[in-house]
Amino acid sequence: MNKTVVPVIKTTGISKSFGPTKAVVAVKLEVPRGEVRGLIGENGSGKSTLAAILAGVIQPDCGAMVLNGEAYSPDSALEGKRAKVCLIVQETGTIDGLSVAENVFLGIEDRFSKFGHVNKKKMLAQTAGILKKIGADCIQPERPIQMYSFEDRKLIEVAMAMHEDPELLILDETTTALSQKGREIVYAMIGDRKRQGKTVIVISHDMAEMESLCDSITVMRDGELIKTLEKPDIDQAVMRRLMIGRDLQGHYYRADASPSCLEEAALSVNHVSLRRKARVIGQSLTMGGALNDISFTLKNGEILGIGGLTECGMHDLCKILFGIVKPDSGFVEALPQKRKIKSAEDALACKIGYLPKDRESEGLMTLAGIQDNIVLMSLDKLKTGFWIHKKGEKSLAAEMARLLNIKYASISQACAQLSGGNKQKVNIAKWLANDTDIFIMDCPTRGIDLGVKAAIYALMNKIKQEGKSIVMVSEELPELIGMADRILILKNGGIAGTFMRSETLGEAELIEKMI
Amino acid sequence: MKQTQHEGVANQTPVSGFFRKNSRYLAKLIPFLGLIAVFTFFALATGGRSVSMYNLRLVLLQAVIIMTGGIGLTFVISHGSMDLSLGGVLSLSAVFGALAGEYSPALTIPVCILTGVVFGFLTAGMHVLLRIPAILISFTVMFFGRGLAGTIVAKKSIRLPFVFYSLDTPLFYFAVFAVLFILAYIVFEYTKIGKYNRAIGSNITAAVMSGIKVGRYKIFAFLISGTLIGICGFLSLLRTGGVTSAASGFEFDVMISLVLGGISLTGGTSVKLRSVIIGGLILSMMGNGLVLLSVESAYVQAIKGLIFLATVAISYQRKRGEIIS
Repeated sequence: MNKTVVPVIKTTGISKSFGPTKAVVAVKLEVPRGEVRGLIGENGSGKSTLAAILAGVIQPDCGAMVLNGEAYSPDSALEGKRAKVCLIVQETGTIDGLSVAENVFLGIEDRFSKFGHVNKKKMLAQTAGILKKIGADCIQPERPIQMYSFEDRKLIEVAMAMHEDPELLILDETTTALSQKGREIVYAMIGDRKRQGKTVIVISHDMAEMESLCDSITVMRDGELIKTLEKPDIDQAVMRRLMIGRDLQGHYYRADASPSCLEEAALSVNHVSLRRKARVIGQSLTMGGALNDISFTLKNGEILGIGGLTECGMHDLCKILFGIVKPDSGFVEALPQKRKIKSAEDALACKIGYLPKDRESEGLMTLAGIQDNIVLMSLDKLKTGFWIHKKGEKSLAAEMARLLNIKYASISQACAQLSGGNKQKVNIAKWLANDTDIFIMDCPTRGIDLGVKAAIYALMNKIKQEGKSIVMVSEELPELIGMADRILILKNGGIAGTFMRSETLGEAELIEKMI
Repeated sequence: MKQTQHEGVANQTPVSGFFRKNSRYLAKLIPFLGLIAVFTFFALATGGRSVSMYNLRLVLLQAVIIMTGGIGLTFVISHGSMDLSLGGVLSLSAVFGALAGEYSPALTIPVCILTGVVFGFLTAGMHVLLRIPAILISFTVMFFGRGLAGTIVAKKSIRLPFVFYSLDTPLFYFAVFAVLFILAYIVFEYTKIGKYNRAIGSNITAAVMSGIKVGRYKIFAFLISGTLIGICGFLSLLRTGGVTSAASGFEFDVMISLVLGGISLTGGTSVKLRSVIIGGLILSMMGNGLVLLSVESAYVQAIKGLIFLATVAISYQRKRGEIIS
């Protein structure tokens, strides 16, 4: 790579504060043309803010940027886009109710309009072409976008960005929500960008992914750029140390290498099947996956890992275990209580708790306080007759916050202000407070930084030691191998393989069953 | 979309230090300050007429019915629904209560309350079973109630049974309101009904995913609201001695009072029951003060509308509105 050419983007002394919080401090960043640059750091280290500044979504307090040798100070994301800088954020940026094609060309429909009439046919054809180019041709451009899963919508967003042919593409934790297949599509697209001499900045928590994907990796900590590692020096242990600022002590996952659990069974799943179908839960419409004759028994003190591709039905299985979705045939039974789980009421009575995959929109009341969230499921425990004791609420919330080491300014602080990791801790605290015996965890560490991840693993271990059980659905294979006593791999709605915990178990064996 | 939902960016706009640190408390204070401002403004503008003992008693009596309706609507709003049928149901319950009173005065109060409860249950039941937004069902109920009450009133004179006349004293109204408010406060703050309703308003999807029986708790809220509207029906019957026309605009008065009191129309955990009193007093003082200043009643309506818009613009939780859309 010829490094003497003008860098695509160059920033000097970029700073940004939100009130007393310094999100980005005097950042000097330089990314050469045609490079895939990784940006890593713990939650709250300023990666997303920096990305937003580069894309023009927010404006820095001070500092200057140079794009392709010219001064660049975008006032809005639109202006950034005009300068061919595109940002894909972690949350969905698509609009329900519009078709896929309408989303792709949102705001620029006039390309297809003549005398006020939009030529839909042409728009659909072009969208199909774009989707095909990124290898997502299973998505149909004329269908409403909410028919597609979070993952597909993410891919559609990528397609939207690609259509602009950006000089600088920024992916802010885009792969976090994706399964292996989706990730492959994004990787291929990044490779393609690079071949065309375009630049990509990737933000991700997945170290292995970053190592294989990036030419160089910049580490951020507390809003500052710590160091940029070039290809031969990229090493996961080094990156971790730079991110945290100290060595991560001891074991990250469980220390023991063999499966263990108690004799008594906690939950049995008997020949559960489910047809693929869209469902409305609360206010969100989701496309469910299919399940086909699933049977297993969960033991007390067991961590049962479930893995597979996103659409393999594992997320729907979680909802069935908690009674929110009813299976078309088969049943789930809590064995100690000898009670079939036909509704969430049954599940709650049998002390089952459920951590949804999308903790922001499905798990938390983000505008409500930490305390309100934590005690929500424990109100029965806190009342005499009908009267709920305020003091009890407060002390229970404080106890849980202490136990999980949740960082907050005030216990009534809105959850929206917490970092992703602390939000997930609140979510877990909600079920711990309820004395849950069986935890259904759907992607419990998705998009969470290393420090909190380690804390959640330690907590899962503690739950296990207390003889309680966990069903952990995960899209991260190292996590399944590292934490589970037993791993079920789902494929096309059926159980494709069962693996017991062992030191020799590797990702390749699991992947083989998944695909 | 992308701009506003960016992690850690949208919810933190740079505001200068003092306001940022104290914005939570300031937001809580605004309705109180509004009440003081309205009180002071009219006291000065009317040259003290608005603060005479006689007038203050009038203001409070006017506020009682609005506030009683407000308690009920607060339960409904807190879980994210809206009920536009208050005026229609109030008129109907007053009419039915008075008609029942012709057979036996002992039936008046139970029939008033029962009418409110039945319509609350119907609205909620259809909302939950048919999954139609409550605001649309209540819209229908509003016209049904107004129409039916109007028809009956036109054909028959509706009078309150004579025995109740002795109850028409300020003390009775205040006592009824005090008891209702205390009971409602307990239910709202110290029971699952209050807490779950606000949880549903905060994030209905999360409530369902947590196993809360959303439909059941919504129905509870409408039953409470219905009970209070039934009581409102009786109180208005008592105050006017009969029904001569169907109440129109009552639901909007109640809604405006809640918003003035600081309740966000999107519901959720931020909803506080004290807003009912603050808002009811502001609205009642304003209505009364404008009359004292001999502002024409058509203008009073227009002014109310503008103030409603301004308050909603300030208090609406925009961030969440965007997430919903």
